[in-house]
Amino acid sequence: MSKYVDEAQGVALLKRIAAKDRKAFEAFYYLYAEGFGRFLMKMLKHQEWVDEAVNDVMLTVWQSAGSYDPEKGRLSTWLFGIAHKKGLKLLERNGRYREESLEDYPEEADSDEDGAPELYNTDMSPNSQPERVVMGWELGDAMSWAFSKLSADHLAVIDLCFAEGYSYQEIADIVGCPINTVKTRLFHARKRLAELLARKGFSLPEQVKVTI
Amino acid sequence: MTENKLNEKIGTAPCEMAGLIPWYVNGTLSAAEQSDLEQHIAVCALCQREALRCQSLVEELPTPQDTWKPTPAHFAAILANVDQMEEEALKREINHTKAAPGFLRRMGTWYSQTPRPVRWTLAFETFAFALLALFLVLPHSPIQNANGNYETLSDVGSPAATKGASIRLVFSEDMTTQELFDLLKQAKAQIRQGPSEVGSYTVEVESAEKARSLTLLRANPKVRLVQLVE
Repeated sequence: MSKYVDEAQGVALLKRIAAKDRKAFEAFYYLYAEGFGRFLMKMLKHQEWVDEAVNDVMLTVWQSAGSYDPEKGRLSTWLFGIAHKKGLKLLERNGRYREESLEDYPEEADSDEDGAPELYNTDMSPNSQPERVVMGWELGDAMSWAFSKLSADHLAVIDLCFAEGYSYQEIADIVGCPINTVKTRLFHARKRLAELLARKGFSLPEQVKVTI
Repeated sequence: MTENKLNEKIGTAPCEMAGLIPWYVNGTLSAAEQSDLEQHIAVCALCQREALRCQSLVEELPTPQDTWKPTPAHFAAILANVDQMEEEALKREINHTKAAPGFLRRMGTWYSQTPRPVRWTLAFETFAFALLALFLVLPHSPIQNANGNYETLSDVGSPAATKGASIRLVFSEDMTTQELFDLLKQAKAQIRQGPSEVGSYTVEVESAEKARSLTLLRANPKVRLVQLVE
């Protein structure tokens, strides 16, 4: 979302929403809801739940538009933070939150240390030379399956970092935890993803050339 | 054997910079962090692999099969919820106003809930208190009669001015009020002062009637002393 929407336009609309301008509210909806709706869709995986979560986010925007402070961060970060909370509440209410509990990853619970470099000792590539097709599955299928198996917390950090392109500080603001927790959580999420892919006989390719 | 497994085996310390690789790949590091990491990646095999993995992840991110799109119907539902929310907020505000009325309203409510006897007692006490307060507040002057020569029995220090003759009297103890009344009426006398500490009264009679009044008073057996005051 942040990559596609004009921040200044959103802030101007938000000011009008704070004055209870319904036209601005409608414009804001069509400008932003698709972005955080996409994020919520990956998190909740059910269309009707996303409808409800987007509704909750928009109601919060209507009520709290005046409380947004541009000095404290981007509008999209503020919105994704609200969306993340609403999404987690919905999952909790439906008994789906933390099917894969973070208790399996105690290091993530409250990490205040500077990063977690020792975690990087874990080998994430079960197959150093992956096949593109294993047992009739293509890598894309395996990825989709693996993503569907990730916990909401893991999925959120991977999505916010690699799909939505947020900085670690912004992700910390959105999910409401320290920066180092974000770093370790992302590491564990990638590790879990690698494990899931390995179950299907895949690993992420390492042949991609990165411009350094 | 992979490099990490080799590291584990020989106890090589893992790379401290690896934690920043995902944000190096998504391009959100600060210029300083970016520069430091670029220099580091150039010499660190572990971080090079991390960067490749993250880059692969970005490229292989699954495209969601189900997408969510805003629709007019959904927005209409949101607006309906906004209306409902505002209506509820208004009701809460009204209820809050009702729940926190002014002092007089609260007193009235409390008063109407008290038992009837208590209510009447309170009303009477309040009225009496208000009357007393009014009496204390309003300026008041002594009540005077038409001639301006009225005085009380206790007003010893400043007897009213007299126009006739003054006679000092001492009555016997067994004289009744009615007998006193009749006697003073016959003698056309009016009490002006008394009783004094010794029980004497000063009465006033008209100068023209002085002799007759003296005779009448002296003739009464229940008058012990009749003395003309000069």
